[in-house]
Amino acid sequence: MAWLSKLWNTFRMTRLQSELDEELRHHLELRTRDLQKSGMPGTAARTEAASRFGNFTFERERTREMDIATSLETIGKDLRYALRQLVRNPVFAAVAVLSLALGIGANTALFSIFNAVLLRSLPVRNPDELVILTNPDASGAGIGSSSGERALLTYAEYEQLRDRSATMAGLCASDSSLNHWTLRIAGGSQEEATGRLVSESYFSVLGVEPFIGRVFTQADVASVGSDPYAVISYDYWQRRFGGKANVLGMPIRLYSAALTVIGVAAPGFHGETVGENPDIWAPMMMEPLVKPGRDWIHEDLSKSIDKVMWLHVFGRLKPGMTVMKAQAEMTILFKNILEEGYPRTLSADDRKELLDQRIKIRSARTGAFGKRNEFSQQLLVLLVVAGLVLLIACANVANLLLARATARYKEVGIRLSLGAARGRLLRQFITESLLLAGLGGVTGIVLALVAARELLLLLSETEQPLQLSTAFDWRVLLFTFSMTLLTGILFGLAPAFRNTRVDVSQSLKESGRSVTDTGTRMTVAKCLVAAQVALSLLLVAGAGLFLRTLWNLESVAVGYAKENLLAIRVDAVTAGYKDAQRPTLYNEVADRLRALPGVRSVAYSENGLFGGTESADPVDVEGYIHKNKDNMNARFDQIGPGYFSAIGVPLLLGREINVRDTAGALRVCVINEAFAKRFFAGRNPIGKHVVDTYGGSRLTMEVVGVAKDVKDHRLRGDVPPRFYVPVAQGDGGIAPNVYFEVRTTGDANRALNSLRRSILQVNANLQILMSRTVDSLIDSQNRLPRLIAQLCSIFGAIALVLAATGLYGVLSYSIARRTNEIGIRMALGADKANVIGMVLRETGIMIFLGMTAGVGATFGLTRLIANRLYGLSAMDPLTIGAALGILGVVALAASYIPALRAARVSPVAALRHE
Amino acid sequence: MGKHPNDRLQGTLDLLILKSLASRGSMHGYGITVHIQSIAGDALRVEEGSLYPALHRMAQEGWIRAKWGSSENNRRARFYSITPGGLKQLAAEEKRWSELTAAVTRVLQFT
Repeated sequence: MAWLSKLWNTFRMTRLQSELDEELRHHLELRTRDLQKSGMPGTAARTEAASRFGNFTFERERTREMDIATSLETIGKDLRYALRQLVRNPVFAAVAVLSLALGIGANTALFSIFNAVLLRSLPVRNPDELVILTNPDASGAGIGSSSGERALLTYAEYEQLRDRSATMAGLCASDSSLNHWTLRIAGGSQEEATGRLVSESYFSVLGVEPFIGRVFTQADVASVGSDPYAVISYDYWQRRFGGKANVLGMPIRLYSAALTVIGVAAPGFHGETVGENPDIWAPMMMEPLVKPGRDWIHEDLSKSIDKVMWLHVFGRLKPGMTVMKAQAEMTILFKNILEEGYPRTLSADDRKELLDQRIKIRSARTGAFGKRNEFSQQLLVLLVVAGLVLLIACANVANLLLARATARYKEVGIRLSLGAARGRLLRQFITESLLLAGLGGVTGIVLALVAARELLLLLSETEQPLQLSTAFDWRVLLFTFSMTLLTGILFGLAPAFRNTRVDVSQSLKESGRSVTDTGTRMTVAKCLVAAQVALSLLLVAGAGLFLRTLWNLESVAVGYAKENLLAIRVDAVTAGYKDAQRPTLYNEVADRLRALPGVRSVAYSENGLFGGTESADPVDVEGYIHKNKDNMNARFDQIGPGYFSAIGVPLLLGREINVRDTAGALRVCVINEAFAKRFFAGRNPIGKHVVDTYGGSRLTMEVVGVAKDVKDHRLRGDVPPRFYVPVAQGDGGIAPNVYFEVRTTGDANRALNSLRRSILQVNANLQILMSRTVDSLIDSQNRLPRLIAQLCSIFGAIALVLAATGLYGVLSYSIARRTNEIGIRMALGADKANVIGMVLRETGIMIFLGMTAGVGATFGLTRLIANRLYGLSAMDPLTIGAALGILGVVALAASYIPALRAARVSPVAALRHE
Repeated sequence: MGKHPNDRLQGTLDLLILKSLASRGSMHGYGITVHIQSIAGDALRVEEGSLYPALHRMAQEGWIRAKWGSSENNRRARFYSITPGGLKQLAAEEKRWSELTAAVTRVLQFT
């Protein structure tokens, strides 16, 4: 480890220098003392000593040079020697480097994503001063009331916090969801771009400068629509406008707003949310124009308990302020805002419940990121798996080194007998391991560069690809470097120590006939193989658990045919439809779609099937006496007439919602089985009443039907109690947008264009928010489980191959060493079966020990992934049994070839074997 | 690394140091100086400081081993001793030296 000692030397140079000074001064002192003893006076003796010594500084420097130069020289020598060794054994080198590269590459690729998501700072001024007042994992818009820790804030809340805070140098807000805007640039045709509404203080608080032009400032805030500006991202500027300066002043038509581009943001700045790169930022004051029909700036706080919670709020701490001080201030400010924000007419209980809300302040150095927790947990599972593969690879390389050591046993003996220091040899062996690790690391980085990009694609939603820069910054390189170093030491140290512990006289006497060294060396090798078997079992069992989870998820019966079913989400509010007009519009669209050729049936509903939106309210149920702390919440959906028959959900009792359930008719609802079981246990619910009690309102509905439970939002877990109301009657207003569920006769995707055209024929201003097959929506819920299952299977397969190689190598070697022993046995009457049995017994012990340890580890570790599994337990005996079986077969196959070879040994040849 | 003019004495100095350490065991730098001078007298006088680069180089070569200990005046001092590698080196140097002197002598005796 010559270069390490060099590194160490550089670190302790000052210490070395003072040691050297001490040594040289000691010489001068002794000389002066001796001269004085011989009668020379003090000063003269010192002068004479100095003159005899020569130039002190010069000698000191020369001596230092010797220390450094020679160690540099030995590094060179060690490296050259190590390289020669590798070149001499190209197969060994290739196998070792490749298996390490695989392990290191997988880890580096995963870590670079981990780094981009969780560790990297936002490219803004002093990111450590940034805090977030909302939950960085949250996104979307919640309309209604909330309790406990608040995920997102309303505009009014943001404004009041901004104006009252004394701990913050500034606050800014941003729309927590990334918008997909349809726009016209400079009067051109419609095109799509991603955009985000941000408060006018956004760029100044984050400390992001414009590349050209200017950004919004607080001075632009006057009234709604007063600042029709847009700032675009550097990437969008390059991509869409070819980086030309004439982009400034470019008009952009965005729904009801006519924006003008005033600036381009600094390159590398992609906003405050990791993984989402908006093309355009528009000022908050433009919100009512950009989202027509949704004025989320002017909601009246004092009159309603409903809030539109849609903003992330960031703050920059004043110098010297801490998160704790800011938290103390914000807690009080927010409490006051809440007190003023809810009507005093509410019952004491309701008011108390509504006021029970808090904001939590966190550091925002790394920005916001929806689903960060989920994402990082998945990544962690994969990192652990990749780490295990690397461990197996290490064990393999260690075994290869051990086996090779025997070949070099004599060489080491000779060199030791020629006077080589053991330390020097040790250094050489470790240099060799580090060189191997280094080559593996470099190859691994190359692999990782490709793999990281592919992985990111796999990890991204198809709808909204994660835009992460997985560029290898210092953190990733440091990670890879330390991992390489660690693996080099891990697999190199034990063989190095074993290899240099050579009995010189023994090694020289040995002729190859003796079996003296097999004892400990073979024990170490066998332990390594057993460890590989154990780790492989863990990986194969893990892969099996994830695969079966995926299969279970994919074969979940949703309760209706999900084939040839499209979901098209249409927004009515943007096109200007008021509450009362919407049911008619939805029916008109549905009728038109139904009339198209190839369309079998059409239904519509507010929350749709697996669409990602959901509603829930507290209810009172006739005849149900609720106890304290009883959870009275039920999910609900607004549906169009004929919903259940169109989708194919059977009604168990009563009737479904039909065209006669209009605004003026009796308020009705259909409940699902889970609702009936939960609240009507055993009673007939038809004709009974359900009351929606949200916010003290009492909306009474008569139950007219019970529908079979279906999976419509989540594949996992039980179906929750749900009630369905007609869109025409509404609940908390008429659905502002709905999903049209269209069942086609042929391929659903092919019908898509004509369906979209028909919708726009009703009104060209209707906004189609999304159109996908229900199948693909369900499928995207399985995306992460599928990815995990696939990657774990790949890693498991690699682990199996590595373990098989290890087993094969160790057995072949041990048989080669025992050729004459086997020869003697055969000469004494052992037949082929005996020999094969003997070899397999030897293997059996290794495998058995490995498997036992592996089963223990599997039971211990799979518990940690229990919450990612579906439809089976973490200790599923079938999966673990199958893993044992696979491993057993692979191990037998790997050991059968060496065993057969042993059985073919001819006794005569074996006895002559040298 | 540029060669110092003293380096032409290097072989000789190495030989003297190795021989001293082989015959006297562990010694510090000053001890080696005194030992060489007490036997050779003033004839072999070199600048005492030039001993140290040689000692450190030989330690890096693995011919001698350095270890901190306490000296006769109760101070911390670095003590050097010869290694098996050093003994081999000494044998080689001695052989080279006697060949060299024998050759020089032959030239001088040639009349």
